[in-house]
Amino acid sequence: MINIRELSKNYGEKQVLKDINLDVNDGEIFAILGHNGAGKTTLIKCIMNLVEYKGKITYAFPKEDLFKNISLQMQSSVYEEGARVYEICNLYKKLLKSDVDLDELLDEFGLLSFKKSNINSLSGGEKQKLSILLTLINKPKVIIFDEITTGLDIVARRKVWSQIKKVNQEYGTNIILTSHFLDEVEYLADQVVILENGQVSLTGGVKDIVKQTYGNKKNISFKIPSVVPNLENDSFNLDFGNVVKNGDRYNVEYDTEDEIKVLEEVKRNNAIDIYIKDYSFEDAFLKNLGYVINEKGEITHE
Amino acid sequence: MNKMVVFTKYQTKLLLRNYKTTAIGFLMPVLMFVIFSNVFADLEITGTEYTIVDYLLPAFIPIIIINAVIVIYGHYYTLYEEQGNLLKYRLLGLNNVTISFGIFLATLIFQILAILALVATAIITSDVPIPYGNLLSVLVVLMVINLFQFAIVYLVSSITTKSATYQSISIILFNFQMFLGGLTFPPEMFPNFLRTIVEFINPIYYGLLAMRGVWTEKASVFSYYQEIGLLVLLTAVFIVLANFVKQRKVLT
Repeated sequence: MINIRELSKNYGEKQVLKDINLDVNDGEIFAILGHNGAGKTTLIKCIMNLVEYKGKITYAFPKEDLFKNISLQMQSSVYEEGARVYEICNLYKKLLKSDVDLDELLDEFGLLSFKKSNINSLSGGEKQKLSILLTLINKPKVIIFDEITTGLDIVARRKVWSQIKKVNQEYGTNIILTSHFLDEVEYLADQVVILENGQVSLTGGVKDIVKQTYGNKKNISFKIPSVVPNLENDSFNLDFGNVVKNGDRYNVEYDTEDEIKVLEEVKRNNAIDIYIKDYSFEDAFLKNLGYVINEKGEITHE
Repeated sequence: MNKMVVFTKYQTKLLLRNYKTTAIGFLMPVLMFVIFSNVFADLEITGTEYTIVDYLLPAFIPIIIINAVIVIYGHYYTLYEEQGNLLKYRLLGLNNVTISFGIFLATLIFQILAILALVATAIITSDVPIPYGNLLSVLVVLMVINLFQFAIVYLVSSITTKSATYQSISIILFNFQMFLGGLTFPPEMFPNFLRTIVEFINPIYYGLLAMRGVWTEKASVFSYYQEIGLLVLLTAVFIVLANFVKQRKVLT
């Protein structure tokens, strides 16, 4: 749908994007992930031809029809004071010369009862639902969401996620989203590119990245009662993997095929409070790039 | 054109809905007219056949224009830019000029309503005559004053993109033109030194002279070619300067 080759962008002396190569395939949800200032929004602006850039971007439709085929919902949608839900929908419909049935669309998004409401009286989640709805009015081939869930609480974020999934699955619309929430990317995206200081540091399918990073490995975490004399400090050792002690817990990474053996060994050592987990995209991301997650769940440089 | 009409209708609806925030600015000249026409009743301007009250209406109409363009339109525009609405509408196929002009037209409609309210008040309370035979000249002067104010907004908004900063500057510009341009108190009431300063630093003074001429004295707009020419020249200079600043910002 969109192919990007050797894309670079400078703001004055500062290079914001460097040699970006990407392919957004038909029907997929493509996530652009990165910390604040990594170049996500600039990349979106290049795709939308809103800024000049070096390199080549080709689309599956004529470039002059860009705005007809790609809808962009910018980070933190702002609506004019006093604007009402139906009014803004109708404005979009008229400006985009769409034949969409607004009542039907509002009903589908659960916003029909807010038809005459002032937009600024809607909750954050409802506002973002409206933002998604507005992107659908011209029935685009691609929708770009720029950090659409930033500032929403977890419940509202989840609702927005399911709405995005629904749009992708039911309308067959390509979605490109930027985010700095790893769980969001893992839940929504088929493909992901991770930008770091304007360069692609990792790209691929979400599951592939986890697989590439961890293979068949899993992680078991448990506590050992201190009454067992030979298991204190880091002296606890198993044949099948390294043991890492974190506080009063032991963590062991092991191959899935050794799982029975591991469980038997753990049981033999009287382990309690046992957790087994598959590695997530978040784990792979952190391992590959050495980031940390802050208290808001966003990735940071620290 | 159709997009412009759709957008202007939407903007006008929003502006009229938010009348509480804008009504004070528009009603102020009406109230000022009622008060000042009583305070200055029968005060003649030396060397002319007119009273101060005769000159009040053509002085208060520019106040409405300045308020509409500098305060309301300018604030709306900078807020649009700051909040990303300009980009939002660009993505809907509207270019910056259409967006800007659409907002301007909405404030123009409000401006016309406010001027009509002021004129009606002036007729009812002071029996002020309307220059029916000279309406074309009046419209030309109104247009020139509008364009001059538009150029000021364009220049200031090119320098500052923060709406809060713009709002502070716009209040200063509004008051500077209103009180030191001879719009509230006629320049004839100013001490000589102040009047000389005003002539040099406040171009709206020339707009006032033209407005008085075409409205009260029923003179042709061509009699005020120097005043009109100066305002048009400054309008052009401000727009060129603003474009220069905007281009520099894009490059950096």
